[in-house]
Amino acid sequence: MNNRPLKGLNVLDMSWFGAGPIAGRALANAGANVIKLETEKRIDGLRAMAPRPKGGRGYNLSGYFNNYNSDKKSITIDLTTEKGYQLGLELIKWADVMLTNMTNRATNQIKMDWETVSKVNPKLVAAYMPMMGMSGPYKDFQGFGAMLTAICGMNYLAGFEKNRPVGVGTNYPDYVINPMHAYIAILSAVRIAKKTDLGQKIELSQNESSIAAMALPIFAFDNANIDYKRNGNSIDFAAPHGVYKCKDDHNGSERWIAITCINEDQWNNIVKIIDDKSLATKEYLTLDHRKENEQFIDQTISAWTAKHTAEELQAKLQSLMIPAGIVQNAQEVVEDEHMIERGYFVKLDHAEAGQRLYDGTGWKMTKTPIGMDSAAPLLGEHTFEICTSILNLQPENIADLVAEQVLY
Amino acid sequence: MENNSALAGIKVLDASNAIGHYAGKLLADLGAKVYKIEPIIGDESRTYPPYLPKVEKLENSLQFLLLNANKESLCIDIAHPDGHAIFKKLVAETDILLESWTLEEKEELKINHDALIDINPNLIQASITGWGLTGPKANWAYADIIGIAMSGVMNLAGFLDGPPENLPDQQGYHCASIHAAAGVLTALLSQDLQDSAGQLIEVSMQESLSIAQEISMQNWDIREFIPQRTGESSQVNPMNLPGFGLYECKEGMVYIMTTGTAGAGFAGLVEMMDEHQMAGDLKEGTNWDFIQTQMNGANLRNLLTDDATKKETRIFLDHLEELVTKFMQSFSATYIYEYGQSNRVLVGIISTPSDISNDNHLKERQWFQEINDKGRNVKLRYPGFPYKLSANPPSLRSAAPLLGEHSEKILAEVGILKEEFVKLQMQGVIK
Repeated sequence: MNNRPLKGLNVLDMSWFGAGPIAGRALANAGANVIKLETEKRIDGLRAMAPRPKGGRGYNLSGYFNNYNSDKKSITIDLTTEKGYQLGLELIKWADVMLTNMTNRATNQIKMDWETVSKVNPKLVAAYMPMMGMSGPYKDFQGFGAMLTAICGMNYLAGFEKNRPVGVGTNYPDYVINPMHAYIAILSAVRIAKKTDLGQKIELSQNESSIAAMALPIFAFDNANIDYKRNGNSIDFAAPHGVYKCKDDHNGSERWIAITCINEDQWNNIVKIIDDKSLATKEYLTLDHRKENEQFIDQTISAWTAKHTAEELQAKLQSLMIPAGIVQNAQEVVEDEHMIERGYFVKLDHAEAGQRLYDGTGWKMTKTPIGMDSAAPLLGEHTFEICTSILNLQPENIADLVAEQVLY
Repeated sequence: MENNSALAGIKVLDASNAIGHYAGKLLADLGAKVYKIEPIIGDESRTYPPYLPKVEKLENSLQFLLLNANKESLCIDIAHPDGHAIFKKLVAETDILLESWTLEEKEELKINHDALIDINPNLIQASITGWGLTGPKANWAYADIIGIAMSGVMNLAGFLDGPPENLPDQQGYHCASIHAAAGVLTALLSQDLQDSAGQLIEVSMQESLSIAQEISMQNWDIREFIPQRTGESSQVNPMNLPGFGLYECKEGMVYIMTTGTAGAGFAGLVEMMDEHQMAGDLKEGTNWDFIQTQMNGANLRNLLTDDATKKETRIFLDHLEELVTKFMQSFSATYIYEYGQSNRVLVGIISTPSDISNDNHLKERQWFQEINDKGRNVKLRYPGFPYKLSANPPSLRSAAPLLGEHSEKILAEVGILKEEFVKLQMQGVIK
């Protein structure tokens, strides 16, 4: 596409796994030229992970990796060699934005610290995303998203008190919270750099970024001495607010529906639908009373939902504008008629993985649309192209560098 | 307070409801001037518990205070023709409009993007709703928990003997808001890079969450496998390997991810156990060889599926699990967290809000912000920002507004002076 909003913006993406690459992907989907600088010595771990098409091996097949790296180009340089490092610095000069979520230790080891890169390119916006930030006693602590949900307080607050604080089943902050916070910070800084010719350093502690997006329990603790605990599916400001079991589907699989009533209208309407006299008392009109009797209300709703299919319930509740939605699994999300009509998921052809589904963009825009043009790159797929077009190397130089294992 | 933050000078009209409050906050914290448009009765979230003690109704909701600091409040009935006219004047002056009206509500309010662009050709309008503005469910009712359910994210959280679980503190609304703010920044920058003028940004909460399904969608697409909630295990550790997951300590709990190639790996954990004389026979001969070479997902998967190695591998892994469990139970979570991480062992700790509030690392980084909320006569401690920008950092400049606190000031800026303001007030158009 020709009118992508960030067309002409150059990004050097030295990130790996989830939180960094998804930020890079968002920049790429918005039209930036994103070069993923990789090395087989320290391969992006997602390249080695499932799911892959049956029987497939190698670094180019992972659906986990491919989904997060569409529209990027891949160059493989060994930055720990002197010649490789110089090529890396050439790319720093080319870039408007540099992005990494490596540890501070690794960033310093490959000499891509802020002191160095800002001297090489004063216009550069350099985004660093180490787990705990770049200062403080825990600055070198490292980990993955599922550890971060523990550290940032999410595990302690998610789920039911009778169960252990196991988390939410995924590396949750890696996928939206941290990458897209980084994206926001990067574009804020780029906008200034384009006006002033001055870059700056962005420091995103993934811990702080994660806490910032679930800050109410901490804010409430600090200012009102409120001690939040794991509270299942219930929240303070709505009742009912939960997930209820429906009739099994025709295969005998269990089905669940999420329902809530946030205001009085919604409550009146659900009482009408359920048609159970025990709910139709006046005192349940206030949130306070509904909260006091939440267990009873939940049991009554559950008894009702158990008699109907999830689809019947959803249609009926939504027809009266009561917030309700089926707990959809991956297949149902992909086959959701609403998602399909809106064209959220995108099919892209990949040389080794074939035609695969990609998550679409997190928003749409009318004038300068964002979207996906090409699948994730093969490892080093664009090394030659980038060497000739950006690094101005001749084919024979490139061959030498490959022989010296600087490039591969 | 001087505003040196990155978006200083940018004007935002925030007419969104709870789904968009965090988007407005992100822009406000980055320095934008955010006028919050509230109905005459106040934003619905002003009534949400929990409350700040000793502060009057509508001004005491902690959620409202948290998400609306740095904003100014204009209380106006935009369904009223006079209110509507004022709204249009404000649109003419703003850079960005955040809103969360559904298609039907937009029609009722006679607000459509093209008409607003006629008033202000550079307007960036961000629409943040549960389902977006197109498609068969566009006008469906939504709430945070409903987006989490319909996006596939909830299906992954919880235990199989209980219901699927919601995520804490409105992650659906947060993800929708973050994507909206990202879209706004993209549109702003494209005005500079592509001269793109104004446009409409559209966020569907359901879509904004989908990518957080991790590998579920790909599991379905690539191998027609449908992941379910995994309880103690996780999508990326379906085999329940030792050295991975939640462990009880003498005090507290840790969540570790040592089985794999990152950091010091499982071998690093064994070294740590050995330094505390608790590695048993793990550093001996073939045991140590196995630990150094096989303790990653790919190798263990092979060993656990191959008939020739399956049984003895499981026995050895059970042995490891027993020793790791015993080690963890012998020390406090904090000790294991700090000692482990200092040796590059991937240990996380289960933190409570109180732990985070008192965390030394965050204190040393001066992460928390304090503000004297004069309107409520209380000093408040706010969690800090998601990021630092070295030259133009985000800033906490003013407390959350009282209902209608800035109505008069804001209207004066569009030429509505005292006399007319009082008239509008009496008509109930303004508060």
